[in-house]
Amino acid sequence: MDTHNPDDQDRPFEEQTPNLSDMAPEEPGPPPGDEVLEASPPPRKFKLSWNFVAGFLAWYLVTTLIYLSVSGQEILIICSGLLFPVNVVALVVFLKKTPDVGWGMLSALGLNLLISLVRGLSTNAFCFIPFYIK
Amino acid sequence: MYPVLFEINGVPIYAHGFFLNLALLVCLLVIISEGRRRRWPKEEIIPITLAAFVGGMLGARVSIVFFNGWETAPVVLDFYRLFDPRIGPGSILGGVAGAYLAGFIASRAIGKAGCACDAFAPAMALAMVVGRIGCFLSGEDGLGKPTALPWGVWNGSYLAHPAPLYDAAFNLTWFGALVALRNHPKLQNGNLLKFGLGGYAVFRFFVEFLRNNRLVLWGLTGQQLACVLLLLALAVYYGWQFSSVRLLEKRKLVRS
Repeated sequence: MDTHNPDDQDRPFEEQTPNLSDMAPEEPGPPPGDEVLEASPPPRKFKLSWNFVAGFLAWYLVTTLIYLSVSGQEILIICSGLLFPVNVVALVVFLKKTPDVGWGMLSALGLNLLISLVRGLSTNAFCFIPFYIK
Repeated sequence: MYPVLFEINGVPIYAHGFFLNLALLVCLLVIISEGRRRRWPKEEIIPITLAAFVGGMLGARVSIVFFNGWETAPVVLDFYRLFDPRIGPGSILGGVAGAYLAGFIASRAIGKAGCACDAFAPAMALAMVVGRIGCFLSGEDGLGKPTALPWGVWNGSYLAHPAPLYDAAFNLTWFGALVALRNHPKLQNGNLLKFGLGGYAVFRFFVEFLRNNRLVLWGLTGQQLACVLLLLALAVYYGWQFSSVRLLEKRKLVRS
């Protein structure tokens, strides 16, 4: 079925007007601006659970064990470098698969960063201090 | 310069660390206040803020490799040194990028529809006002390039542009502007934050000419390149949004 006016044949598609006589009558829709958006599910509630505690403690346990097992060895440098992306990927995966464990891990990481910030009060460190540490 | 603010039982409290902590506290308070005003439930604000904090700290540190060169990688990318306060927090631009990305991932992880990030726009601007005072007092990076202007500050070697104070002054003005615009219908659903970041990127691009940061490419610092990339990304995003809206309007016109 041709739904366009024969007079529009030479115009580009965007400028063509539909042949309303050939079209089935449409259901009356809501007035402009009153369209109802598709309802999204309510956000998942963040609550303390055993999985959260497990994630929190596991993060400390795993990172401490890795550190103790390779501390003082040359492999520590490789492990430390790898732990950065591994942590980020693990966090994203856990937040997606088992969110409570992921939130626990994120909280442990956040707490450690907070402690380092507070310790930084008595340390003369600037934004770009790596230059000065040999 | 006043790197040591005061002492507690003989332990020096340094300006940079003090104002950094104060800035994060101010940021948190503004987010809480904005969250209440916007009636966002704490079940959403807590995880998104936590993720933004962690992402911000990681981003600030990692971005140093981009801004200061690959030779900093052994220190900057060392996971265990992430918690070493002697190394310093890193770059605010990297922090903002990391916080944005982590906040986005967190909001998707909790299944939040839409963007919760507009509360962060004025919070970040005010936090930068406070944080830059610490940068100024600690004389970070020699403050700025030499100047003969009457407000030049002696950095121990020469009269320098007080670049951190320029940054603080801009952010204070920008904070006022963002608060004034926060109810504008077109600046909702993430647009206020994008507008805030875009404005800061423009300012930062120009103020970098007065700072002592390392030149990376085409006579520009890494921070300037990051600002250009951010502005390009915003231009592409809004260009795409604008064309989508126009296409939708055309389709509606055709239907009617």
